[in-house]
Parts: sequence; structure tokens; C-alpha cells
Amino acid sequence: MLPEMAAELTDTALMLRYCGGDMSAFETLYARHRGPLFRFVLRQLNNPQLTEDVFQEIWAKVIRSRAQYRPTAKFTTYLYSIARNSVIDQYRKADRAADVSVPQDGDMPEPEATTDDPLQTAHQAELGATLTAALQALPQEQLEAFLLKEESGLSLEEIGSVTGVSRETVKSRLRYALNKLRTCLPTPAEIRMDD
Amino acid sequence: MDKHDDISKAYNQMDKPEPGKHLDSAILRAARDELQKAKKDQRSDFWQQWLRPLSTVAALGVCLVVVLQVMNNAPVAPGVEKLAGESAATESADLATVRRPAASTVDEIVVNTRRQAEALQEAPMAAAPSFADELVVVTARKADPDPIMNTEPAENALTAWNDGTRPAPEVWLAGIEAWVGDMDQNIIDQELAKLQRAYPDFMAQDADRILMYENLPTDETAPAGSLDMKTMLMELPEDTDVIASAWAWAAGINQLDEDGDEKRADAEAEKYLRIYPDPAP
Repeated sequence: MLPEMAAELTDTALMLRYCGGDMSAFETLYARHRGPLFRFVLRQLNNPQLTEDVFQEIWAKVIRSRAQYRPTAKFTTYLYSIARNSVIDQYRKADRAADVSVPQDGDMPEPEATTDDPLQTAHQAELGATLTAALQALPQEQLEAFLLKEESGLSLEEIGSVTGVSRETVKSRLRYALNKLRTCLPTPAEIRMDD
Repeated sequence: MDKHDDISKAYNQMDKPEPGKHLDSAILRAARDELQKAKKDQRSDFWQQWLRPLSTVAALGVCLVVVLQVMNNAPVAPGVEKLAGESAATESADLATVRRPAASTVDEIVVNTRRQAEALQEAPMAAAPSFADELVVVTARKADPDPIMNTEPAENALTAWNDGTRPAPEVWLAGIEAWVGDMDQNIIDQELAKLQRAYPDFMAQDADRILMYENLPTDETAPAGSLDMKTMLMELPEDTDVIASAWAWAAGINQLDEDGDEKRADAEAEKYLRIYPDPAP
């Protein structure tokens, strides 16, 4: 299959093609989800090394269970359900406070500069650090709902399907998460004063 | 939603860490290996599924081929081969073209060999084609281990004669003798004539036995209305349609001769020769 053709196929179609022996379909599928999935795990575990292990384990599960894969739901739902279970396993293996440490300087990947303006770059870095700290302060359920919303692009119903709760519960968790994050972020007035 | 948009925008402005290339290559390699392993498993599953039935079919096929090979190319016993070689020179041209029948079982080959060994000790058999005796013994074995005393060999011998083969004289004669009293006399006479043509020396040796016909009714033992050969011979008018069988008639003539009635014996012999010019017992 040509890469151009693979790019037009849905995730489910790509997964089915991979189940049928098409390696290029898997490469396309992996390219689509590698970044968001990695961040979904990293933002929860806050440990790059552990994140790499869990990330690899998630894809290993996808690969191993391809024979049992049935396109009853979106592939994204399937993928993030596996990811969520893997993260929960990590929580169970070790106490989060003890083993999943808050990243120290140098642990997290260096943020890429998105602008040539040093002030703006500094501001974004500061904003990123503030938001990261705010995310870490969120309860696990709210963080999970927020990350699923931002990284996977799933709908509220699909997030509920992944996390095993109703749509209203997801909506409620998201509202709480956003309120908490907002209190942590500087207001536009504060930003202007800083400038 | 404004609140959500603000946070979402801020989140998306954060750095976006991604997995390293070593992680990408490891995962893609694992996916590729899994596909290759699956292909191997498929091949393995195929053989696991079909190995047993294919083995069974192959084994049955080999057994069938071996059985057919044994049945079609059964080895001939050494004695039979030897006799066949010796008798080949004396076979008639007609019989030489007859194909040797194949023995079907090991038991038959053993019986054939024994019979051939016995036949080699008998001078009259030397002139007979070797395979004729083999055929008779083979068919006789199914009914009775002693073909001489059994009536079936003669019937088989007759059939064999009609097929162009020739049975042993003892077997042939035993069957004919067993027919006396039960079978049509004409058939018996025909068989005796054929036997004599086939084995003239044997018939000369056993002429007395052949002509005695001990089981024929006599004056003393015959029930009322049964055939008495002497009365029949003497009272039969010359123009009668009812005639005695060749052997019964000849026996009656011999009896007259033994009784000293040579004149009547000669007269009967003359009539006999008119009716049965060939063969004369």
C-alpha cells in the first residue's frame, strides 16, 4: 500500500490492514498516534524513562492483541483504553508520590522554541512550567479527562467509554479541571503587567 | 467554552514532547517481527492440521500398493519353476500358448509345490503340462485337502479342460468315478474318452479299474426295474434306440467273455464297435 493511500484510511482500516499483514499500515497508524499518546502518558507519570517503558508496552499490547482486534469502536478509543490501563498499572505498582516523581530539571524534554522573540519564548516557557505544575496538582481522574480531551481528540462520550464513566461525569471532571487550571494560570492582566 | 478554549490554547502552546527515534524503531521492529512470526505460525498451523491426515493417507497408499504388488506379482515356487522348465519341451504347441495361471496365495503355492513334487515321481505326468495340475490343486484345496477323493476336482478339471488346461489323471478319474450313478452316462463317457486321449498310458495301467464300475447294479443287488448290464446287452435288439454307455457295454462284454460265452461276447463287441468306434476300451 502506498503511503498516500494509507494516509487517507481511517485508523480502524489501517489496523485491519495491519492485522492482515500490511506493515506500512501500522507505520501510518503509529505515526498518527505516537505523539499524543506519548504525551498522554508523560503528563500523568511525569517520568520520561518510565513513560518510554509504558509507551512501548502499550504498543506491544496493540501488536500482540491484533488477532483479537474487532472494529467495534474507534481505534483511538481502543488505543487509549490500553494506555489508561497501563498507566493505572504503574500507579498500582508503586505509590505515585514515591515512584512517580515530579520531573526535575533535565528530566523533561527541553521545550522547543516556537518563536524568535526571546521575551515571548521566555513567557511561553514560564507559562508551560506553570501549566505543567497545575496539571500535576490535578486529581488523577480530572487530569485523565483533561488529557484525553486535549491529546486524543475523543468526544465526551468516547472519553466516558475509555474511563468507564458517563458523559456527565466526564463533563463534570473536565469542568473541575479547567477551573483549577485557570486559577493557576496568570490572568491576561497579570501578563500585561509582567510585560 | 471560552474558559476551555483559553486553557486548551495555553496547553497547546506548551512544548510537545515526543518519543525518541530509538523508541520508534523498537516499536516498528516489534510490529514487523510479529507479522513474520504470525506467518510462520500459519505455516506451522497448516502442517499441524494436515500432517496426521496426510500421513495416514500416505501409509494407506503404501499398504495398498504393496498388497497390489504382491497379488499381481506373486513369486512362483522353485519346484514349479523347475517343472515348468522341464515340461516346456514336451508341451504341445496348443497348450504352449496357454498362459500360466498365477497362484493367489502362499498356501496355494505350497500346495502346488507339493503336488508338483508328487507329479514328478509319476511317469505319465511328465507329458502333461505342469500348470494344469497346479490349477486343479488350487481349486481343489478350497473344497477338500485331498483332491483325489473329492468329486469337485473333476468338475473343475472338466472346466479346466474346456479352458484349454489339463488336470492330473488321478484327479480327473476320481471325479469321473464319483459321477457314476448320478451323472448322465454320456457325459461320463465323454470325460473318459477325453481322459484317455490325454493320458493313454495312464488309462492302460488303470484299465481294469476303469472298466470294473463297481458301483453299477448287478443281478443280485440291483433293485427291481434298475439296469442290469448283462440282460440289457443280451436283450437289446439291434435296432433299438436305447443303447448302453460305452463303458457299461464294454464291461458287460468283458463279463460275457469271462463267463465263457465268447460267441455272444463277440456279437456284442461287433455291435459295440459300430456304436462306439472310437475309443475302444
